[in-house]
Amino acid sequence: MELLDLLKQRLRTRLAYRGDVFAGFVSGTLLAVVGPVFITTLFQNVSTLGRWTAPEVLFVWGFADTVSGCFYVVFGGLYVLNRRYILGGELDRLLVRPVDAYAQLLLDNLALEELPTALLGLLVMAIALSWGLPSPEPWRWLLLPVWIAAGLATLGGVVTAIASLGFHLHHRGTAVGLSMQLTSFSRYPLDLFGSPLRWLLTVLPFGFAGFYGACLFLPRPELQLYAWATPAVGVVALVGGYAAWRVGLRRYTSVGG
Amino acid sequence: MSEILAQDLVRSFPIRERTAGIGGTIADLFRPSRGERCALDGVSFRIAAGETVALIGPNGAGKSTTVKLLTGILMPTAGTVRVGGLDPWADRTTHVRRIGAVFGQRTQLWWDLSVVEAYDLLAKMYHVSAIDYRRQMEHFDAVLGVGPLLRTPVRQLSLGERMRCELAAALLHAPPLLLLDEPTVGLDVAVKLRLRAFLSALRDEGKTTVLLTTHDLGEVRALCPRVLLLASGRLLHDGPLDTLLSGLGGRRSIRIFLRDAATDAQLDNVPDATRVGPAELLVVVDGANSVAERVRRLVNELDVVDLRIEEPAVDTLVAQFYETPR
Repeated sequence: MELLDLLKQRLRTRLAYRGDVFAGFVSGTLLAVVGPVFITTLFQNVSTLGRWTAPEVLFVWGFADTVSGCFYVVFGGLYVLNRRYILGGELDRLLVRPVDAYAQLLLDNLALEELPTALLGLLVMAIALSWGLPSPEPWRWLLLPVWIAAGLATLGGVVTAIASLGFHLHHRGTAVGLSMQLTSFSRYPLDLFGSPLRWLLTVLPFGFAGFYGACLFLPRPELQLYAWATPAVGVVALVGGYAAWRVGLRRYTSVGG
Repeated sequence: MSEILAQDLVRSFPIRERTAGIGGTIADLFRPSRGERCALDGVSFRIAAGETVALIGPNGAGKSTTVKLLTGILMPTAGTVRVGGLDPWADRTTHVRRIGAVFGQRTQLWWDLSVVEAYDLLAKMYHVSAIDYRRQMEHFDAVLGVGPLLRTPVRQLSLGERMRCELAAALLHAPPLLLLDEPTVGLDVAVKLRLRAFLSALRDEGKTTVLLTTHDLGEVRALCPRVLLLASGRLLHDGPLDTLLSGLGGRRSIRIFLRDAATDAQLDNVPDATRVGPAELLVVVDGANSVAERVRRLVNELDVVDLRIEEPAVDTLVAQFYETPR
């Protein structure tokens, strides 16, 4: 209930800065367009990438982009957690209010301007289908929102855990940006990469926020096991991330008075 | 029943020394923090419901740490805290519903919202009913003058305006406990007096327990019958301000203005006197002796035109106290 009020307030505040939101829309869209343009250009020169066809690669990219777009909208607060909230002591303000501090952190930093990235991802998936991707059984489409949410939970959980290291290490906080760079790899079929990277992305497990999650909708029977694991991975990651946050909070030192 | 109970409270912070240079920064990543600094070192006290208590002490004494432990922002390293029977850290979301907190150094409001929007949001968060909300707002407008500020964005408020709004925000849900960490720091005298009047009315009502940290002893004297003195993380005094000051040897002095320049013979007759001007003397009276008695004798012996009794500056005394090694 309180969360809903906070959400409404955040939306109103963000929309008050219309210029910001608009600029964010434009730059976000431009950035997001680079990927699909690159992929289509690539496939004008080669017919397959490893054992993957153009529509498949494009679909994986679209799925991962939807997930990471949603991530930037929902979990943008993790980017500023270290500098503003832990080192700057802003967390004090959240902790004296009767609402879960983690929820407040996310709501206070909700980034609407990243929404176009997520929408563009959906568009890219649609383009991949029209480009000749064999359509999976229709019931699988019903699971698409669930799989996107699971990917979002995976990313959010892992990055929350990484950001919570800031409670212990007191660094200025580039770990979040760094780990998000890793997710760029999960936008492509993972077997394109060497096994160390593939292994890392499976264990970490950013792979489920992109490639593995997308496999549910691809004609790849050998990867279905990974695809079906996506929701479980999402739940485990989110629960683990929140637990890491709680542990970190015990170490919170605020700032001198 | 005690509203606040602190038992052997300890809170330490890791010390992180930084090594200079990029190499040092990298090395620091792999080095564990060296040692700990004890901000609070075994502090115990009780505060009954309805009391108004000042927490004083030099910078770095542990005042803010104490307040943060009581709000549930920090977890104690050792010892127990109970506020209204709850553990502020473990039961934080329940606990913060029954406290109001104001930190002079940083805002509790939302930077981007107007004051009224922030209040609306707080009223919802704390489940304040529409009737109570309206009544509270009328009250705060009358005593703190927040009415004209309601439409202003928080970021545009002056410090004095903001503190008035913060105080109203902290009390919106009528909490039984109010924690104030240097609420008057940096405020001008007019705003200080206004807040002081507000807090003393709150004290006289007796429904709210108030703990405030401050460096302003005038404020302590005006508001708080009881004073906790912290220094280097230890509780040095718990009791009325006057007890603390007389323990410091409450010396007063009498400044005397004579009709003519004082002669040496006259000076010899008056013990503890020093000449400060040709016709001006300063007589120091120990805390144990009566100033009235002394004045009577001085007026009989000397041709006194005028005299002034001077209390030592309380701040000076306390500063001495802080600096005395013990």
